[in-house]
Amino acid sequence: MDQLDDFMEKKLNSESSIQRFEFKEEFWLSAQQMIEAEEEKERSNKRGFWWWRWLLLGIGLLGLVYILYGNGSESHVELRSQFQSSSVLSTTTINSETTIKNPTKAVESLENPSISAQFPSFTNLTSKKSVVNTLNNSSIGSNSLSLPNGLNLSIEANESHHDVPPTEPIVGTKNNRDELPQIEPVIDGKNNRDELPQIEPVIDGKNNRDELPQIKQIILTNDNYFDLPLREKPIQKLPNKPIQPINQSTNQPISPIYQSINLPILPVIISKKFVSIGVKGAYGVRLKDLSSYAYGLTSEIRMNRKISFHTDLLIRKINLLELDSNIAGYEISRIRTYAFGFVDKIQRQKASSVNYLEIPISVSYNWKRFSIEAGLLTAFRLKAKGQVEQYKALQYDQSFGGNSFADQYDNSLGVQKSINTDFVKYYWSAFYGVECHILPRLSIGTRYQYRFKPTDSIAAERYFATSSIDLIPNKFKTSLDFYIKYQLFSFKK
Amino acid sequence: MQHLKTYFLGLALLFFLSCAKDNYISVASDVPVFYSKFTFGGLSNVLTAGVESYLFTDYRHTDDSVTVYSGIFADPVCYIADTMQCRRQLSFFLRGFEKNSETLPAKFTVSEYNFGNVYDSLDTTSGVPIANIDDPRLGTASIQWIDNDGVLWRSDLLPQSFYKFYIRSTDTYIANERSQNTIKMSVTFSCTLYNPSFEAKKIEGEAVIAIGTP
Repeated sequence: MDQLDDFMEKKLNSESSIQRFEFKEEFWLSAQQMIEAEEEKERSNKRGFWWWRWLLLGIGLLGLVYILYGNGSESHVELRSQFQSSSVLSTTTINSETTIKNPTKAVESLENPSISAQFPSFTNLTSKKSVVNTLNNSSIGSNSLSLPNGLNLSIEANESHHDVPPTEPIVGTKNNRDELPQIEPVIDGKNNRDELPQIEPVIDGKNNRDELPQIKQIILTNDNYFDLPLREKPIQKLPNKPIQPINQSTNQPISPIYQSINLPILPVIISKKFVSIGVKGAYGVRLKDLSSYAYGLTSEIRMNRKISFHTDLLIRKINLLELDSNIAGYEISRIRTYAFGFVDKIQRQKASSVNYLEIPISVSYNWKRFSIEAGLLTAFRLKAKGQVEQYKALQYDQSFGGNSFADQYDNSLGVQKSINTDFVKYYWSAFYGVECHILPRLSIGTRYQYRFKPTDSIAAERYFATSSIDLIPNKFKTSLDFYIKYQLFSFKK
Repeated sequence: MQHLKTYFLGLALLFFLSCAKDNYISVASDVPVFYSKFTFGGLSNVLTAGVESYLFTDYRHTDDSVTVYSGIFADPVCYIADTMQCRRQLSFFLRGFEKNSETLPAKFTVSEYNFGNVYDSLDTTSGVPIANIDDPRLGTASIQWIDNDGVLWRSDLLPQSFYKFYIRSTDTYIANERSQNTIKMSVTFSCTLYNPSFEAKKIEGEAVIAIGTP
């Protein structure tokens, strides 16, 4: 061993080892820089990871919004076309490129009654067939088109692209936009864009703007509508108000409430004012211990699109089984008899659940299909359900190590539906919550409730073991409800 | 028809005979059963089992095979913790009439009740002080009291100049907390108690007590 120690000492104290492990500050600085760079790299990786999570979350939300509202907008269009009246026309524009690509389609667009007044001269086309023939007969090479009323429309390709066979449908074979010839409109043989005359509407052969008559406001009647040629059928502006669908069977405007029935994706409420009554079921989680559930009626008074008032009548059943081991029960009788000491026979009603009638009143702010509510709640105790148990209290019991003042369970006297309880007769709460309309009549939501007077602070003194008293008040102060609501009826206000 | 009547009569008779009276005897009482009212040194005291004290009943055999029956009024908490430090504790000890007796003490049974005479448990005629509570003398009684100050007073430390111990009535009673048989008895007593300094104080009173028996 000594030899080994000597060898190690010699090695460590040798000049070469000292040189090898000699302290050099630049080494340490470089090592520190490497460590910091590595840490920075790890941090950036973590940041990137979180950014990815946020990005995925955003994409998911966008997808959700699209699912929820994308279909809803389509339903709007369908609804509009379904209940479209003859006086309501939508605006479309004619794409010149589309016209060249598919003349037939272009003419069909012209014939479509939803032609914009932006091109009044197009409405002077005599017929669909004439235009189609004209467009088909005119080759791309000549690219000229004679329009009625002396207006010539020519389409001319750039010289650099004249090698394209005129009979070949250009767009159909080549879809590379860069390779396509630049098409310039040529009117009356002039292709200089600046020199091109401004297209003026020509009505009755007059093209003088000042002399042009104002567009006539033609009043349609059953007699003259079908007599008017297509070009003379007036184009009316869309009404500057929300489209109101009409029931075709009754010819009456459809109430927005009933409209929502046909649009299951739309928010349930579109009208400004109404009153609704529904049913509601809730499952409450006591944040500390106990659970509960509630059911009953719910009502809503909508004042406008944004603000609503709510009130419910709910029966809340608080489950006490979780506290079974700690509940002593409500003592209904105690009979003491004497012998060597005393023996107490005690009957207690031990509640397994207690019911309250809750009346919450709240105001909510509605945004799209979501509502944010806040309000106050008062609750009154109704009854409790449980069983009657018999206990025995002995002044002295040898079997319990000599002395026993604690009550000993004797037997159960059966379950009773309505028993006494020490739980408080009423309490007040404040709450707030969020609700989401997932279907026209169906909503889900959550509500956080805080009780000003803890439900069972009084009962805790009687119901629970001394070791648990300090924990009890918090168990009943707060709860979180998850509920589902279904709208039964609604009335316009 | 005749047979039918007989049949129903017999059935009714069988029904009534089957309704036997319940022999359950409730010994529980809504008033205290055991108590002791006495004066000690001129001061009145009341001990009631089930109120401020519990009546512990027991029996045991001494080293010389004398059976000692006891009934002790004591606070149960204190009694379990430390018997001899428990204040306001009154004890009655009755010694058997014969050694090696595993049967009920003959003179304490119901058949031997209502003695009505002084139970000569504290015989001082010999002039020999009674040594202690475990004195193997047969057929004797002794009383022990721990006062409010925790001082132990005993009747068997010195010869009694004036004493009497009457067992006025006896009755069998329910089993105690250790499932021992018990005998309930009504007694009156008057004697002198001595503390370890041999100071004497008179105790006089009546009691309803119980003792444990084999």
